Amino acid sequence: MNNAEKPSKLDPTSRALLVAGLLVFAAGQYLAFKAPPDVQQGYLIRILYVHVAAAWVAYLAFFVAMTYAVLYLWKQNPAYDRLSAASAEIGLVFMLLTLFGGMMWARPTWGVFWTWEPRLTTSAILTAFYVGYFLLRHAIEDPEFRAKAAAAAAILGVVNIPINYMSVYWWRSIHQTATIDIINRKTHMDASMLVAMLVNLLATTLFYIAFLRIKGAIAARLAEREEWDG
Amino acid sequence: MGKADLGVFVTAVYVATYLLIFGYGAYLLWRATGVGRED
Repeated sequence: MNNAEKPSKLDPTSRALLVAGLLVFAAGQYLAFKAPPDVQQGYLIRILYVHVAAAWVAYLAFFVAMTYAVLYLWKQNPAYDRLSAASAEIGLVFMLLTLFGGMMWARPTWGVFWTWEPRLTTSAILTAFYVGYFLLRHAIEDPEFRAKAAAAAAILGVVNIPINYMSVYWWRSIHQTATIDIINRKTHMDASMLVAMLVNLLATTLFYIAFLRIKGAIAARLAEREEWDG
Repeated sequence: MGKADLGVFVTAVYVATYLLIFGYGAYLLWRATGVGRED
């Protein structure tokens, strides 16, 4: 029996990450619902805890996809290409969640689900770019050429992240500025709200790491099976 | 939007968001543990 045919189990580290993620997630939900309402937005502010966490993981995942893309181009190891694609896929899922959460937040506050203001426009471009990344991967049959083209796209895609993050500072916008302002080293929220947000960020980050490990293992097994069959 | 409506709305956003995250996680687990293998 080759490795591709062995019944696979979830590795202990991924399992531990998932369990830790669930525990931190439970704490995050408790803190989010215990946190005080916003002066202007009331309890609508609770969308922030899922919206910002999703956006953070999307940024992180695209950055990790770029890092693995650079490693692939440097070392020519297909495992790095698989991990880059896995991270980009998770990033795209979380980017779609960011758009969804943002639209749901926009409707009661701005009166519309969508408007072409800088943050939303650059978010749409970022999402469209990674949809294009997967179209590119599916369009190229040669594995080596596909990996090289995808690596170039993953590196190029990250350019969108600082533009997306800084868009609320660079252009006139109705989107609020960053909750955690890393440029001016300030936070624009009550300490209890900040703790709730950070705990939710940690929960989604743990889920992301677990998902990346699991997705990477699935991709490795599929590649091994293709090699065995081919 | 009234306070009660807002509560329902925010809860619905939470449910939809976590359905996608846990649904995606469940799909990965299904694939990883061998149940979702194509052959």
